Amino acid sequence: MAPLLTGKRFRPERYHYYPLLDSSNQQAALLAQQGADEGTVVVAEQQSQGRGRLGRPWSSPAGINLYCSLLLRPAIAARHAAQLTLVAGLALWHTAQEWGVQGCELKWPNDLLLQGRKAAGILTEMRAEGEKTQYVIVGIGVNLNGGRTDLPPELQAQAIHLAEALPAPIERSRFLAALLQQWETWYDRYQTSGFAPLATLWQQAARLPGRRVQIRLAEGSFAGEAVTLDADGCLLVKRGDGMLTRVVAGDVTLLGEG
Amino acid sequence: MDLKEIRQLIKMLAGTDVAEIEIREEAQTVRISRHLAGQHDTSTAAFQPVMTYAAPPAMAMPTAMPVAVEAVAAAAASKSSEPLSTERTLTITSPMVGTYYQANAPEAPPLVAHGDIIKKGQVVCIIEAMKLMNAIESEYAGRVVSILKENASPVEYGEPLFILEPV
Repeated sequence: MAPLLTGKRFRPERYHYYPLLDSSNQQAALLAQQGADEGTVVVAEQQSQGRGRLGRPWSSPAGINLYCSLLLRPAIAARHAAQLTLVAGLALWHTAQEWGVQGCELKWPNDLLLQGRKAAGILTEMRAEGEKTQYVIVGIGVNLNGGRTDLPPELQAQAIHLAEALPAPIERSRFLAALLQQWETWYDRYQTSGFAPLATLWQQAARLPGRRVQIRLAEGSFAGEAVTLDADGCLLVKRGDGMLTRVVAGDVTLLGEG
Repeated sequence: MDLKEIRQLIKMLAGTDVAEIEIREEAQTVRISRHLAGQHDTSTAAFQPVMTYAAPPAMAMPTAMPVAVEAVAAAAASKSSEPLSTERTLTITSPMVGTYYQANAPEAPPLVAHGDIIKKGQVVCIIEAMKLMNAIESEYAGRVVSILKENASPVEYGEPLFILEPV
């Protein structure tokens, strides 16, 4: 996969392609620890240990999908870095739009859904010493050209490939170049204006307010209506009793139209 | 008063010259006393929370609480045996709001254990917010004398996570 890279961060000399990796995030972390620059991109054709949140496996067969990790070194305090995961979702959603995939939506914090099924997931990992952000790695897995039979049986009802909504397959290197271009745009906007102006756009892409959701936290579950994002990007959910709960970390399941 | 509130209280007191505070709530009394510089010794960070109950508390207390309080008290006690020391304990705090994880993955062993000697820059835990996993590096070298959070529990910005003593 050889994308045409023209951005100011994601440059050809910072692009690393591997036929097989344990996980692209792991390789990107290794490069980061060796001093790699912001804008370093790691792409794996195939991952043997692709993973999502809480070590969950991410199905990563060769030839049909995109598994990439972006290395960022933002000059932001660690407490704001989680906003980058929402910026990541916006960049991904806009890339799908640009490609003409109709009906995509974001699910907090940054899953890309198509027809209610997961087409892409993002796992962000960072290192911080105290307040100081050392680096941020945004790992993005996008299901592009497969069909239902390319998915493990347990995912067939939950996952989907973006090209299933298109008449032709997606050229992977062009999709990656478009995604990185969107990244440049949204990351620049975030760094210039902060998260607040992006929150409105994010909410539109997630069709908030009014989505019925089930929230699973480390300490328990509850259902409610996803109302909005707060200034930090946390999800505010209104429970049945009218109480607003701020979700910082957890699993969100959409419960259908509210 | 729960463990979190006690911790917040300890943190709050750290910026003041208050040497002792006692709070009574129904059947529960919490007293936090500390030695301030120039008063009893040279230490500025020896906290000694003491909890007493006039009657059994109405609600079960979090299981981590007695352990954590005991550990803090133990740290303070070990300091008092070094009256001439100018060293102080070091606190690693959370740089963000999120969920605390003791390991890189649910089935992985904890990144640090009580009594471990850790290096500056060593990853001591993971804090998650919005599917961002933040590997927290220790700003100090030292021995872990107290692990203040339970795995998969919520943490606030600035909340103490670990107490180290210099080695």
